[in-house]
Formats: sequence, structure tokens, C-alpha cells
Amino acid sequence: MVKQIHAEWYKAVHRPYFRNLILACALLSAGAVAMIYWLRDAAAVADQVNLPFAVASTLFLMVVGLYFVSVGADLVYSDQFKFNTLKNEVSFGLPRWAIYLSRWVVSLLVLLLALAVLAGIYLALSALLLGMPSEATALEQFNLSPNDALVMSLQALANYIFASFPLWLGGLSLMLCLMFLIFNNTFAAFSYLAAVAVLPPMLKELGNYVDPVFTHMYHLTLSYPFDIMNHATGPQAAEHFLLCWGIGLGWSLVSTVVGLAVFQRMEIK
Amino acid sequence: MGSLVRAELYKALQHRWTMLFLLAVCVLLPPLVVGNFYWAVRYNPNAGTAKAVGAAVEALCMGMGLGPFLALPVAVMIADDPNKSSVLKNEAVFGIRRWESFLSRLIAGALIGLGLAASVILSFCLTVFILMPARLALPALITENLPTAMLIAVPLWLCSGILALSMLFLLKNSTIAVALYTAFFSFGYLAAILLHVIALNDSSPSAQVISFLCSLHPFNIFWRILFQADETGLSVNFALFYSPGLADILHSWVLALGWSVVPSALTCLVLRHREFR
Repeated sequence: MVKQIHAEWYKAVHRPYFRNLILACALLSAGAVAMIYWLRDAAAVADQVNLPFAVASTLFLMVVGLYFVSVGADLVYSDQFKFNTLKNEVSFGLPRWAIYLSRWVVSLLVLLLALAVLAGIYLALSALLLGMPSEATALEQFNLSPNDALVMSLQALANYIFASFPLWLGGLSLMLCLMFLIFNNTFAAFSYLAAVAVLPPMLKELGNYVDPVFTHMYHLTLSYPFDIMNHATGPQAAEHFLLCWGIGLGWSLVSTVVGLAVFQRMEIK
Repeated sequence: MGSLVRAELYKALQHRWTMLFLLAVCVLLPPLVVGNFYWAVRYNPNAGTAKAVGAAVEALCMGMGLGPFLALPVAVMIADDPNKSSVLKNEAVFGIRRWESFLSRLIAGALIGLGLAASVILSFCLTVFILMPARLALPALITENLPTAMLIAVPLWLCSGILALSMLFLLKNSTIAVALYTAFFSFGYLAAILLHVIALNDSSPSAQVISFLCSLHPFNIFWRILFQADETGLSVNFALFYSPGLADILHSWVLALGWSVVPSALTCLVLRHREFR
């Protein structure tokens, strides 16, 4: 299994796609910071657009991770039904669960690397371009001293990532399950986007107008915790973490089990 | 060209399950929306009146903003090809010109998309006639609102379909194309609004340029957000049912023309120089 993971990792990082992805992550982070920097220039109270503000604003970027996992999984998956490379691995005698799980592990590793690049460049550029607020501004904006404000914002970022990580994991598992089950890679990506972006709002509206059972279903989707992350502060934070981890791990487990089970019996022509 | 389009339609409709799914969505969604207006206002004295039907027609016009998202699966059905290079190779070897190959796919996609749109409207009208007491108010409301709304919305649907197909042809990895297209119409639009709001406070020429570029997003026709963002804040104003006029129609056609011509020209150029192995 370790050898397989090593092989998948080697295959993934030696593609130009990988280098382009990391570059794109770096550019995206830089673009986000540039936008905030521009806001600072144009803002009425420029000092309020500072490093703690930038760090705390990452709340709204967390949901993008759910869409980003599709790209990470696509990098590792490499269209094996189209190019028929899966037949090689299966005929060699590699167990199917090892084929599936090795890709899962390597997708996770690639995405962790991408997260490190995204977060690292964002923090570094924000620190460089935006800087810390003055005493007076920090008191006004956060009711804390500048250093305390920075610590608080970094803690908030850690909380956001801790809450979002299981949901991203669930998204990754779902994406891989769909990629293994649906022959056509494009339709697999499309189904994933539909499940993550189209299904939850539809369930929410159905719950509002047709039957409350749909609202319960909406509360179990992957994007629901992101929708309420805004309000999950203070005493509700612990409950929110439990919700995120429950939903995320649930989706991961079910998707992986379904993917493994169907893949086990699939005929690879 | 006619037989090329017929061939493309046949190939696309071989994706039976996807087609059935899309048709099911288009036919079943209007009853849910109309049903909402019927049940939600059931305890309201307005339920039986033309107001409820009017609200439903407004909802239909609002739903036109979702057209670009429907264009994507249609484009994927058309452009999907297990050996994309091989079908294009056959066509090129046979003597069909590259732009003809692409144009036939565009036309086939447009036909399927417009068919789905027609099914939405048909399903909507049928549901109103079956459910609502004030059903006779529908023809007047439809003839009043729908032609302008369609004149604005249809070019934009077509241009978003063309954009989707172009992206699927230009980018080798179709997953990236799907992800980028979805991101463009969701996060991309939010980013454009954000950039525009920031640009409002900045009077430098670069800010003007960025503001102009943001106003070129196709969604700006459906939502008048950018046109009404000023120092006092954003007002979200859905364009299609605030009595759109000739200026809106012209704006929509010009924007749609730009978004159709540039991607297709680029795609034809790239296809011309691409080597099909």
C-alpha cells in the first residue's frame, strides 16, 4: 500500500498539471490579497483594512475549498477510464481497495499541499502589504490591542479550517466515488458540482415551501455548515464543530464505502 | 451544414440518461415554483386573484437568470466524446472545415438548449392553468412580460452556451473547463461585484477600467446590481421584471454578441492550428 501511495504521488506531482495548479493557487491568493490591498487604498478608514481583518475575512473563502477538492481529485485521478490504464493495475493483481484508497490518500496529500500554499501566500502577502493596525484602530475595530487582535484572528482562522476540513474531506470522498463510478470524467465532475452547489439550495427551498423533511435533508448536506458558519461563534461554536465533523465524516465514510463496494464488482474492460 | 447538425444532435441525444434528467428538471421545477405561489398564498385573499399569477410570472422571469447553468450540461453532452480528437480527425479528413465542425456543434447545442427552455415555459403555463383559480389572467400577463424578457434572456443563454462549448474545446481537461465555467458564473460574478464596489471609491483610471470590465459580465443583464451601486450602498434590483425597455434589449444583444463572437473566433483559430492525431 505504501509503495502504491508512493507511485501515485510520483505520478501526480510529475505532471505539468500539478505545477500549474500550485501556480494557480499562488496567483489566486495573491489576487485576493491584491483586492483587499486595493480596498485599503480606496477605503474611508484605511487602517481598518489590516492584517487581522484580512485573516478574519478568510471565513468567506472556506466554502471555495469544497469546489477546489474536485480539481485536486481530478489531478490524481487522471482519466483512467478514458485511457484504460486501470486495466493494467487490475490485471497486475493489485487489490481494488488499494487502488481506490491510494488515490484517496494522494488526493488528500496534494490538497493539503495546495492548502499550505494558499494559506501561506495569503498570510505572507497580507502581512507584507497590509500590516498591523495602530493601537487606536485596533481598539475601535476589535476592542483589543493590535497583537491580541492578530492572535484572535489567527485563532479564528484555525477554527475555520478545523470546522471546514471534515467537510472538504467529505467533498473529496464524494468526488472520488463519483469519478470511479461514472465512466465519463466530465459528467462525474458535473454531478459533484450539482450535488454540492445545486442540491442544497434546492433542498432548502423545497423545505420552505413543500415539506419540512427537505429541510432536514438540507441540514445534512455538505454546504449547510458553511452557510451557518457566520453565526457559529461563542457558545454555538462547539455545536457547530460537532455538526461539521459529523456531516463531513459521514459523507466521507458513506461515499468511500459505496465507491469501494461498486468498484469491487465493476467490470474493467 | 444541415446534415452535420443532425449528426451532432443524434450524437448528443445518445446521452439518454442525461437528457432525460435535464428534461425532468425542466418540466418538474415550474410546478414546484407555481405550487409555492398557490399554497403560500392560499390563506391570503390574493390567492385567487391575478396577483398570484403575476407573482408566478415574475418568478418565471427571475428563473431566466439560471439559464447559463443549464447551458453547461447541454454543452457537455455536445462536446463530450470519449476520443474527442478522433471524431474531429474523421471530420477533418473527410473534408469538413474546422469552423463548420464547431458551428454545427454550436447550432445543435443551441437547439437542445432552446428546446429545454421551451419545455420550462410550457410546463409553467400548464401548471398555472391547472392549479391557479385566476388562470385566465395568464395570457395577458404572458404577452405583456414574456416577449421582452425572452428578447433579453435568450441571447445571453446562447452566448453562455457558446462560451461553455468554447471552453470545452479550448481546454484539454474538461473537468477544469466545467469548474472554471461554474466558478465564472458563481464566484466570478461575486468577485466582479466586489471589485466594482471597491472601484467606486477610487477615481483613478485603472479603477475605471476595472469597473468597466466588471460590467461586461453576462449576469449584469439579469441583475442590475452594478448599475445601482453607489456610495449609499448596493441595491439589488432584478432587471427582467422592472419593466425592461429597448435599452436593456440592445445592451443584452451587444453583450451577447461579444461573448459569442470572441470565444468562437478564438476556438476556430485554435482548432485550425491544432493537430489531430
